[in-house]
Amino acid sequence: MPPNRIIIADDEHSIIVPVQFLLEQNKFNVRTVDRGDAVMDAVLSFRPDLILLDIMLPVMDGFEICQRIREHPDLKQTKIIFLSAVARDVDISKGMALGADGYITKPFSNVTLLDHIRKVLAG
Amino acid sequence: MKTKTRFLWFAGLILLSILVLFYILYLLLRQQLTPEDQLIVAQLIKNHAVYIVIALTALLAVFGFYVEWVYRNYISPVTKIVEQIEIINSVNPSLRVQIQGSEDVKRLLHLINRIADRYESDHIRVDERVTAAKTRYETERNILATVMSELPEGVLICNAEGQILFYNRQAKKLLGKVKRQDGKIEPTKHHRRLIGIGRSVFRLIDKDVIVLAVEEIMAKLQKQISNPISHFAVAGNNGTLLEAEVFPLLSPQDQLSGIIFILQDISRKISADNAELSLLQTLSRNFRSSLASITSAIELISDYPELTIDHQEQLKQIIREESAKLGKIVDNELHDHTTRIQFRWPLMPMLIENVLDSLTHRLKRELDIDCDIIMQEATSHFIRVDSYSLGLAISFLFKKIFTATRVKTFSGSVESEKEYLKLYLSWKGPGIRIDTLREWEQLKIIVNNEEYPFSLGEIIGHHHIELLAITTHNTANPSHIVIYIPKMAPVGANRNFRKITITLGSRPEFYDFDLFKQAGQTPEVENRLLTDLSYTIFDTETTGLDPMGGDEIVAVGAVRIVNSRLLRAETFEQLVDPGRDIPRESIKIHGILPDMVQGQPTIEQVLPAFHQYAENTVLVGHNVAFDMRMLQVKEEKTGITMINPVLDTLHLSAVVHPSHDTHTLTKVARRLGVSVIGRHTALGDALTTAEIFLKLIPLLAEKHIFTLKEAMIASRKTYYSRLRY
Repeated sequence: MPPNRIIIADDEHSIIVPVQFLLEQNKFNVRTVDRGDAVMDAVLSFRPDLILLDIMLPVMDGFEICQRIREHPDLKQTKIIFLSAVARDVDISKGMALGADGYITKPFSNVTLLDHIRKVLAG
Repeated sequence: MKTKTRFLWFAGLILLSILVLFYILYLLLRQQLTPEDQLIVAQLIKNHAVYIVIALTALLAVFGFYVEWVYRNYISPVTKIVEQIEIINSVNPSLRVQIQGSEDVKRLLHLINRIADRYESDHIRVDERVTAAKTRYETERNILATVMSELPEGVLICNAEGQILFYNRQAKKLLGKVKRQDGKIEPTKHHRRLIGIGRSVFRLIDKDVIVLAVEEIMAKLQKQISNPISHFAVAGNNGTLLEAEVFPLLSPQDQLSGIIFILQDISRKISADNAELSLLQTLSRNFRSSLASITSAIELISDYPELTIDHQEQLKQIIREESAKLGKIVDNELHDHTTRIQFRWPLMPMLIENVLDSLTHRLKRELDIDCDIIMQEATSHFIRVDSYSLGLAISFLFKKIFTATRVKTFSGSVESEKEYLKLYLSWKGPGIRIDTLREWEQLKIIVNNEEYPFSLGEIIGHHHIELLAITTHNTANPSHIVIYIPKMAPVGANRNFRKITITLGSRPEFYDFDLFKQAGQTPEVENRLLTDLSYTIFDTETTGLDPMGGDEIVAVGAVRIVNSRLLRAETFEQLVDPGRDIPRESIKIHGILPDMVQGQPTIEQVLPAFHQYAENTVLVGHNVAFDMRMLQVKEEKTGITMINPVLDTLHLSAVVHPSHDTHTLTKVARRLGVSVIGRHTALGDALTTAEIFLKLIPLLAEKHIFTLKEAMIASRKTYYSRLRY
């Protein structure tokens, strides 16, 4: 069974590095994107099973990206987990209303992150 | 009928009576004579006819001279004496009667003038006492006025009909029209905002907003809530946003007699508040990001001992950098920002259902949009809102949705979730995208073609409200917008309100409070008492005296009289560029040189401002037919028609003093004891005319002329009314 593909969409190098390392250590095929407007292209070319999506991304924010992915007929199966420092209830509610599969607030523990990712991928 | 005409009729009748008497005597004498004697008499008359005719003519001439002498020495002086006594008695006690006449008349004048001396000295004594009492009153009033004018907040008071009774300097600054440093009036956007005693407050603040505030106050009064006040936000000058606190003025019967508005500029508060919000969000986000990086790195180092040295070093570097970043946030941003933030834009606690009820009514009224909202929970929730600005924002949002979707029917529901209320607004039709919504949030609110100084995003941000647009391709599920509104704990955490609800029984000492007794400004102006009307007394200076022959206005000056009080502080004075040369002859009169009018606005720009200044008043001028004609010839070019009723002090002077031949401004002023200052400047002449007019009103009352209609009818009858330009 091929490894699950994951895109990390975050503009913080300090988050991308450890999370990428964590995921690669756990046998995920990882790609990173650090700009909002580059996410859709990356998603369409890499076809990830899951996206770890930050909200405050440059150019296009996570909510808008989520809306676009959910509207795209070819990306119905793509799971989305918001991984965000924006931790207000209203933002969590917004993210879930837009069809996200999960919402993890920063800071998080690596174990929780991995558990969450595995649960979402398992459906 | 004039006195002279009446006297001539009287003299003529006497003469006729004498002649008739002589003829009857002649007929009676003739009957006593024999036919022979009658023949002899007839012969005698015939022989001496020439002498008889001469004698009769001489008699008639003597009679005529006598009649003229009697008129000149007795009748005419009496008429003039009456008029001058009226002036002494009413407006000018210093006037002394100086009229030519017979010795009897002179003796009478001597007596009258002695009585006038005594009357004047009594008058002066009474005046001194009145002045002393008035000074005490004025001092108290001035203390109050000074306190009011120095208040950092704008204070504006109006009666129940919306007429302004008082305003302080700050209120004028916050709400009134803007005059530029060069003295010119700001362009039309601010023209509609004229602040002045007796003017309508609805020209300054949207009537709907005031009505809403009054309804809220009345509801609180009915529930006997202490301090029944209301709040709203309103656009001020120069793009500022004002907060208005509204207090009722109550009659002893607890009826609303007036409203006090306390205004303050909250633009800074809003930006500070928004900065605070944005700062807190940024801080939280940055803290969380850095902590996430640090935690993740530490966990990796401890959980994966097989990490290469390079990897370990990379992760340690991340920990160091993120820790340093956290320290910097605490040291700089948090400290700098928190010291700046100290204001709050007042949000009032309101029940969500009341807010939604008001909003749905507003949508129906303003945009004909039907919005049916169902409350999912029985329990009511309080939210913090400024109902006015939120109303503007939601109205603006719906207008945008309608423009984008052409949908006019919406359904809504409210759900409670944690500390938020979620208001779902759904419609059948195309959805709104998040990015579109974000673009709208950047736009300044525009309602009824007026741009407000805040954006949709600023208002909803200030309310901590958030919007989310959900689009759907499933036709069964309508598109919707979710509005997240933060809940608040039910009242109790209320603001500490000022306790200044004023009862009229406690006799507040503001200017012109007797306006409370007045009815509205509009009904049947003609039948209103002259003492009750508002007036704009104006004058124009021109390039010449031929309005139809190309002469133009070079200056307009005006002042208003409200409630029989001359409002010297609210004058209108504007030089006008005539767009042509100014002849030397007219410069000699008004002293306005061509370079003085260079760069000044043209009459097309000035007339709209003057039209607004004079709105809802009676126009008054001296020989005003000329000025009116000057304005009339500009009607087509400016599109401004002065429809105000007009009174002319020249006509009115002729009405009260018919025996005087001249009614020039200077002569009338002197007669009525008005000092003439600034003659032949538009404002100077307007002020003189205004003082004359105020003195004419009691003189007209003595002639039983009380209403505008009566004054106009009397004016029309005077000789001067027949003058045409």
